[in-house]
Amino acid sequence: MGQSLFSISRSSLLAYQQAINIAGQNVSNLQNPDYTRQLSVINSNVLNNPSNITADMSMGIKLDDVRRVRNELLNGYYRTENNQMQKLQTSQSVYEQVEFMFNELGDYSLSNTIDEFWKSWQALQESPDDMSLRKNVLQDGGFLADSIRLKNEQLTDLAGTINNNVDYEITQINNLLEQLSDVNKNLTKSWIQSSSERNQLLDRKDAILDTLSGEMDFQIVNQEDGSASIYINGTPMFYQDKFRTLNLQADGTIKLNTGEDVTINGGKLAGYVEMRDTTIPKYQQMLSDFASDMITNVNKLHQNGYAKDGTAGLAFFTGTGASDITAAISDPTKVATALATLSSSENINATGKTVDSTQTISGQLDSFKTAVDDNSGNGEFAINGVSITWNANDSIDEIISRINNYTGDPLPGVTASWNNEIQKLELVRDPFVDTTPNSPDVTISDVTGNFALFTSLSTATLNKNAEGSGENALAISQLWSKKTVGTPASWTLDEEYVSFVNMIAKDKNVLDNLTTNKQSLVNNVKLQRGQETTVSLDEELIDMMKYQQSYAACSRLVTIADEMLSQLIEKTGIAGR
Amino acid sequence: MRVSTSSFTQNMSDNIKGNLTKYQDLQNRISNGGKLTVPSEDPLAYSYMNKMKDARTQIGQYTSISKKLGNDLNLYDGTLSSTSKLLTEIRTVAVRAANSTLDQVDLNNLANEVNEKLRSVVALGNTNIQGKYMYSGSKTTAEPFEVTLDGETIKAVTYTGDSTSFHREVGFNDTIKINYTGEEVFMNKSADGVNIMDEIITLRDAISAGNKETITGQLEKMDRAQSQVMGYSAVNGNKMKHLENLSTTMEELDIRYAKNEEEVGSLDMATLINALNTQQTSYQATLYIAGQISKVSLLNYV
Repeated sequence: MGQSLFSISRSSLLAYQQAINIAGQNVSNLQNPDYTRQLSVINSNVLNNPSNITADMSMGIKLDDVRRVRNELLNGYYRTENNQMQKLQTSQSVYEQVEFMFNELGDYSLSNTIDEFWKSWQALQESPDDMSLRKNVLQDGGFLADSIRLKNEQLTDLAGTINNNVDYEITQINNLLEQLSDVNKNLTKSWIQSSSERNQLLDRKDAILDTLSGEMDFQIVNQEDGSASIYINGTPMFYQDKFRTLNLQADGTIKLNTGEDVTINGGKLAGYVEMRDTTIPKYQQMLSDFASDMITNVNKLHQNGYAKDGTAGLAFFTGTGASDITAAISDPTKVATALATLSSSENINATGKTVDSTQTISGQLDSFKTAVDDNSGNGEFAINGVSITWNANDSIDEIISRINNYTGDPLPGVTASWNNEIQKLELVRDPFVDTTPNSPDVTISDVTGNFALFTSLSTATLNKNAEGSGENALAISQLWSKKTVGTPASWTLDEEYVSFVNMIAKDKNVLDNLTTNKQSLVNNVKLQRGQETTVSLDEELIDMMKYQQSYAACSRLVTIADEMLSQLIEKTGIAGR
Repeated sequence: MRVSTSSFTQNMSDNIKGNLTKYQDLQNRISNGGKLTVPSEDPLAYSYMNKMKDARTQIGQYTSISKKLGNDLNLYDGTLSSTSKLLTEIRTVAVRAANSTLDQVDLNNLANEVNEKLRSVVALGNTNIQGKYMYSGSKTTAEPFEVTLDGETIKAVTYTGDSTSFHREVGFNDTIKINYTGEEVFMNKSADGVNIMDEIITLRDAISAGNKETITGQLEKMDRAQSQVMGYSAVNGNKMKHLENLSTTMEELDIRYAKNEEEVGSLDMATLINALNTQQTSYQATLYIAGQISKVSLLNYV
């Protein structure tokens, strides 16, 4: 019996000592984020007697297992959410840079530069002779072109920096895969017997998988021996004793070192790749579309106009988009502020004056009203061969309506109105309305000769050297609020740019909200997981006290066994001494 | 629910960070005068603000242009009034010449007087503002009226400008013609128009010749010339009035747009300060609780 008591005490003292060690291990790893708390699993130490089951004897206790408190369901949940959050946070950081780059609420934003450009044209239309204002237009135009190019270059540079980050993340991932491969190898080694040592390796494995989940998406299959098999796009990353790595190709794609293509959909790597390949190019395209519209619209009008020396057809900008937009002229006298005007007050040539297809003309049919008011007969004139007839009883309004409501092709962009101030019919050609391919010019002719004035207009010529005229500068400055973008034209150039900035703002705003929500979700999952797996100091102290007390009780058992034996040895059978 | 020491501290740290972030956002907003700091804070507000800002920039431009144009129109008003006054004086001379019995010396004196007034009319037609001739159409660098002289006598006046009209945008979709050519004001060739220069020359020559019939006929021409000039003066007056009204409208619009911009793009400072105080209290409470709780441990009692 005494022997049994000693055995029980011995095993129990050993078990409690080990349990105290485990609790101590837990306490010492209190601040280790990778550590998973361990539980001492203490069970009765039963000696089996195969010949008589009732004779099984309890021989104290033993430390059966050191269990890691881990919840694989929460592990998986955390890694999935962390994977998505890291992708969002990566994109968010890039968006922050893009928004900062455009700095639209600052004093030196591109929208302010655009406004300055229109303002300088508006000032010039008021004083087209003023050389300093002409220079202003050139400086502001040049600055606008430089600013657009600079923004485009900044976006290109950002894409380059992101590509460096892609490279860095791939290196990180390869390092983690290498580390995981080592851990896997150790876990499969048979000589690892200690639970504690094994738990340490499992902690390391989980820490690597947690970090890896922030880098990219992958599938995990946990093996019985505790090692983890990783799959990317269905391809195993570990095979035999080797592991596959990711490689960044020169064209920016990612492949495995064994040649397979890889598509990454989550984690930081996916965030960077998406920003580099989709988001930045999308913004560059939008910026380029805006630059292209700016070039087209300004040039279309500028080429219509005439410079101070009478030169026509000069482009204000060269280039086709945000990457190459440049101010085309540097000589202020070449700013085409003037439009061609007809030198005679009587205007349109009876013989069929042809006006360039892209010009805004303000033709005036003099005495038209007189002829109509006097009911002096029927008449007919033609615009691009389309007959506009009038009868003696027609009013001016009826004839104007006949021109404006004509829906056939030959009158594109020609509108008629009565100018009460000068008492003339005005025909205005809008250069923004495209002409039909076969009828690019507007030709007006007097068919019947009823308009006496037509016959005397053979000398009407285009006056191209109208240095005091700011009509073309006016037309260009009106681009500020004229809807010229889209088919049909429904946006101003300013609105196009603002909608571009607004898209960045909206994208980032949505991303900010998504990231905040995801961050909160990840924090909750992490907390939930932590509550289960991490160490509670109070709990461990209580355990330590518990085990200490148990240890003390067991040592008391030794004393009792000792006293019992002493009783037998020292007090029993005294007669025989 | 099990609470571990590290999850407790993690939670505490998350709460402190969350409160500090909100505190910092509010502080940034207040430092920026309550305005948006980046468009993504409120994309809709940014878009609206930008429209208001654009409109106000344009209003500023229109106001500045209107002021300059107002000065130009004032000068037109001055020259047209002076021309009208000269035409009245010429008519007075013509009436004297038509109704009195005058000898040749008197007639010559009156003709000379008309000649001098014609010279003044030509000078008015050649008025320039800072080097720009007002009545020359687009040929603003050259005098629009050339005179052919015979000694001191003006034999003919020729218009060398062109008929270009200038239009300027003075408001949203509001473009007005801002010049009058010498041809339309002084040498109008339309059916109802009067070539004032030629008619004055005809009158002067009729006075000199003592041709009372022609002088009487020219009186009616002078009346029409007066109407022509006054007509342009009236049109010019209306434009000046229009610019004045526009200026008032623009000021009102600017105030309204500024208010809209302020309302949409900025938060009320009192609301922000209130929110900051609340956030500050919340942050302080989090820190206080963290400090208090971290002091408590079983270690203190075992």
